[in-house]
Amino acid sequence: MAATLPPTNVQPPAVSMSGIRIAFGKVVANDAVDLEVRPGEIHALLGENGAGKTTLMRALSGLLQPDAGAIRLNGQPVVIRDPQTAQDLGIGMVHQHFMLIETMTVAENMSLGLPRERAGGRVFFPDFDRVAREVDALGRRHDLQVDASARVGSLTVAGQQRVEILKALHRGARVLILDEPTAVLSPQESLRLFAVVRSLAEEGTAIIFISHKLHEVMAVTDRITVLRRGKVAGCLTTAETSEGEIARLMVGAVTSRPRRNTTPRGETGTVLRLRGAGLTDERGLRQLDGIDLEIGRSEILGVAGVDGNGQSELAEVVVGLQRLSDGSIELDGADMTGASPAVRIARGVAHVPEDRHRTALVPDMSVADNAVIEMAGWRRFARAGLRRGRHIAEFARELVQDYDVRPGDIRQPVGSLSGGNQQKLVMGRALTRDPKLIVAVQPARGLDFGATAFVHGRLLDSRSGGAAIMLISAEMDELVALCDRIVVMYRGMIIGEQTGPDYDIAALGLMMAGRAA
Amino acid sequence: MTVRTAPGADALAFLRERLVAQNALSGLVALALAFGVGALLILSMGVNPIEACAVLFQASLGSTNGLAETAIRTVPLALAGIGIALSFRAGVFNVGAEGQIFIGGIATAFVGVQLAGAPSAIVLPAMAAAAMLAGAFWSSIAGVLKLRFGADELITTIMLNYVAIHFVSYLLHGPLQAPGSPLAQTERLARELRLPILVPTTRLHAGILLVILVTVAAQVWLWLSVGGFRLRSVGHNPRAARSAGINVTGVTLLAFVLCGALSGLAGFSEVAGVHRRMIENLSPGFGYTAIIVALLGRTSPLGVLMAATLFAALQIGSSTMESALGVPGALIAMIQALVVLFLIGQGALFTAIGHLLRRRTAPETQR
Amino acid sequence: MMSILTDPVFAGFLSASVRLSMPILLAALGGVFAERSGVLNVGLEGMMLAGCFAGFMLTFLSGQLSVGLAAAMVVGGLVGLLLGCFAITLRANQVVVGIAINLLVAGTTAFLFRLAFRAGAETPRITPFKPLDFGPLADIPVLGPLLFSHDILTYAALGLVLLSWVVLCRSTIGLTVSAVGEHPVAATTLGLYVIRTRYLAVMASGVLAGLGGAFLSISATGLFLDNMTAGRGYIALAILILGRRHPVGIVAASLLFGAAEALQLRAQLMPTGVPLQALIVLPYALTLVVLAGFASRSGAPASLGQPLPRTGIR
Repeated sequence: MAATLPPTNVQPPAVSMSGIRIAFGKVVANDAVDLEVRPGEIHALLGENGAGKTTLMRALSGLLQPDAGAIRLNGQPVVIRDPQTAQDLGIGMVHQHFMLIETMTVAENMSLGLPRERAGGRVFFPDFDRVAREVDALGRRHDLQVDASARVGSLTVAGQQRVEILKALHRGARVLILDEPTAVLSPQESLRLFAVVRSLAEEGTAIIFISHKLHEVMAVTDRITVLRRGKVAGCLTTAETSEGEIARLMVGAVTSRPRRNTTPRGETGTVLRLRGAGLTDERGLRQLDGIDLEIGRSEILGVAGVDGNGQSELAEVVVGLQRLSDGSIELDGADMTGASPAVRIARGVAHVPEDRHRTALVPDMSVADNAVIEMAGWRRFARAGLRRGRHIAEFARELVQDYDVRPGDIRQPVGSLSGGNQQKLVMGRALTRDPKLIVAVQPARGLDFGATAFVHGRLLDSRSGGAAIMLISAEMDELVALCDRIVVMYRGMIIGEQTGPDYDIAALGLMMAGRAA
Repeated sequence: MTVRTAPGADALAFLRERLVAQNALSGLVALALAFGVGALLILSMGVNPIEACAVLFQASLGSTNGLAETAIRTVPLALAGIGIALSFRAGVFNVGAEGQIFIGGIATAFVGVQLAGAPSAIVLPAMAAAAMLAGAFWSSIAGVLKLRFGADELITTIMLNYVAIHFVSYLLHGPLQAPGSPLAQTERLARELRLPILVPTTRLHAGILLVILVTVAAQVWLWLSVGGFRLRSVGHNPRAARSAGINVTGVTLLAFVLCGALSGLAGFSEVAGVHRRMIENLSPGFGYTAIIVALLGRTSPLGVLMAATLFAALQIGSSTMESALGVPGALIAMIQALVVLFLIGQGALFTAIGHLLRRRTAPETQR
Repeated sequence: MMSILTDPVFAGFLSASVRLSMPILLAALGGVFAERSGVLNVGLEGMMLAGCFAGFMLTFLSGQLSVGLAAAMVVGGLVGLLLGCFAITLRANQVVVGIAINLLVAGTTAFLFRLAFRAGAETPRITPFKPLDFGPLADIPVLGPLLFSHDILTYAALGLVLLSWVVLCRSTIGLTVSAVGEHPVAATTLGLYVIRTRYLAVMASGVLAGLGGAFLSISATGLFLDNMTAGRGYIALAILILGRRHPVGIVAASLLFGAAEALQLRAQLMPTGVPLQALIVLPYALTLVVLAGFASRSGAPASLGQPLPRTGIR
């Protein structure tokens, strides 16, 4: 791949950012960051969650202003005041969360904010036909076909991503930023994206590819800039490096893979049993279909799959947030198909939800209140309808200590805690009750290494204690390391299963793309 | 990507929590600003604002009778205000107190007339219970529309206000009209079915005791009970509350019911304590003023009682101010609205200044 | 059959339906601008009342209906600006701000009216707009009273509906407004000015609602009364939902409400046995039915009522 690089001495770099510093209050997101991307190069921006990749790119696309540092495009110093300026300078960004108006058609999305000269001089009444023709032509040239008259909301995620890329190209992007573009794609769709990206680069477009997946970066990029805690940890040529070296730069120490699940299961016996479970949503779509599932004592069952194939719904029906349309759920042999979340909690179901801020915690309320929210009416914490303040405080203090939630002030609002500490609180709340069943959805998402290791360790401890655990995750590494068994979900169904500890990861990947084993 | 909150941000959030949101300070500042604007307007009319203020409070607080009138006016404002405050705490924008007061009033009169002659120890509580039930029923219509059909309670409660007022008007012109009366009103309640007068020579009735009872009970329930905790949790984050096993639908309905019951009780005390019969103009907008009272009282029952007392004093004094100095009483309505605007403007301004001090916020947390 | 169509009472009913629907039509049309841009405009009532008062006062003072009309629109727009400051810049709760503004305008107009005309004095009056004379056209059954019996303001209002439809549904401006209401962050990345667009939309909302309010004072009656709008701004909010925030839908919904109100006025002349109050509550009850029937948030812009994010917006 390095062979396709144009000679560096001929052209100035397409993008050169130097000494960039961006601080949010006292938190420094970028500190003296340098980044250089040549025309026609695919340049990876790599780093852990929170390393400052997205922040740096938001500065390049005009969404925020750096506190210090300079940006040059093709050797010319520029100031990127706002997204409009970035657009005019030929910088296009495909955000991780798409910047599309779902209720509008592709052509309407493309017409929004189009400068007069690109809109064919039509200022007041947009010329959708003309835009549609241009989009078609661009799409054919770059293998990015979309129907310009389709509503964006009706397209698949991959289709929406094509619209985003086309939108950038249509506005004349010569620098294209892709923020974690494969996070929402199946492996096959990712391969197709890589081909498009390569052909764009061959035409001279500079591509900045943000990712934290090492194998993708190794496969598709020319050079790599690694960020760690807001600083550049290194700049490497892909052909001359290895995954191990990159990983070391990313984490700054020897990578600790998730603690492996090695101890054999002691106890047996089924805790959770789903029979023919199905869920139809209010639009009549089948979110879950014919799920048969069992989890035993001291077992971690992994649920793998590309986001949006029914994993969240599976978790919700198990904890009782959604009622099954058909089928049944049993806990310890007793039916709980129609039980409310409160009843399930009382019977030993614990939930570590996917979205800490929105689903797990009440940010405006105190640590103590959040610690007991699921048990507020239990005799331990309430008498005659009144809350027992001393017991609640005692419990919360113990929890904060055992799970190392910092800072340890139980009267502080939970919203002011860091993400990792919030997750520790959620885990602690779920696990201190010694639940029979734990449903953990993406429990380590967005956490740093220390917090991740802590969360994984606690899950394994609970397994040793006899709990049945359903672990839903998009991270194959996490699943492979922790799970006794992995099932793969695709379009609301379980299409495959493997038993550990030795998993065939390639086969699991194929199943995630919908190919049954 | 997780972004840790800066220590400075913590301190600011803390200050805002303790000093602005939970403390009465912001309410006092808003009041001061609103009074300032009022003073300027009075000044522009060529009247001395201090004199106007003196006349106003002399009328409402300077005599036994004035105090009694202020206390009488406090009753409906506080009862409806506490009901609305509890609604707001649960995240329900119930603007329907006005209609619920009317429904409570007509229920009171209906039961009082129907059961006339029975021992008052039974009938009076029955009247209060009927008023609360009727108000709660009326309020839960909006609750059911919200929970079952997703209809925004803001608009449904406003519509229900109009329906209630006209429905009551129909009853007063028709089936429940006092026989032989040319006016749209029910029969007068028997003497023993009226709330007792507390201070002879004034109109002060036992409704004020009801208010004190309700305030204390609501304050304790909201802050110390499991039910109040669940209500607050649902108001802050219904998703998390649901996930924690709290019956969000039930709590939301409870918020509607509480607001309706307390507003109905306000209707009861107006009928049984002040007018002694149901009339067409039972409430001159108590239900709407109570919204401001609830906000100014920081949606905490004790605060609501204080805010209600203040607004009652202003309203009682305003007519004297108009007749003595020629300052239109509508000025008080302006000041009341300005209090709310300054209150929310201030909270928002404080947050905005906080963000300016930090110059920039952390980017949206991304998953 | 023909006799009904030419009956003067029926003709009067048709004419009144159109006339009575105009204030809420204009207010709801204003609401479309604000809500499509993502701002929940609970302040329509206050904007109407402000326009109603300003239109009356300025007409009274200047003797010119056109001056009053201009004043109504300007004052309505200024109330829109006030709502914008709180709802957009200060990111306050849009429902609370709207209600507070409604109460503020009710107090302020009553205060100023009392200042201008002392209590006890004779009720001030102005000469309202007169219906245009279409000659024989006005005598066509059904169409005559429906279309050819109104004053210039009514035709101007219908022209505004057409203009709004072109602007909102066909032009770049409408596309921008919708984008801003659906996804303000995306709109910013596309180079659109979110804050500016929302301000302009809310002010346009105020101008139209102010005009709707002026209808009551300087077209329908020639009078101003305290709280003259009597909840029409809130009905306009309901109409927005019924009309799916689309100018054409709004016209249909407003006519329905105008007809209900006209029916109730006629019913006072024609004893029917139905209690009068039942007819008075008809529009309100209809709104409740509509809200129960159409999930009220369906089709609403995704960011409606939400404060803007603090970053990445301009």
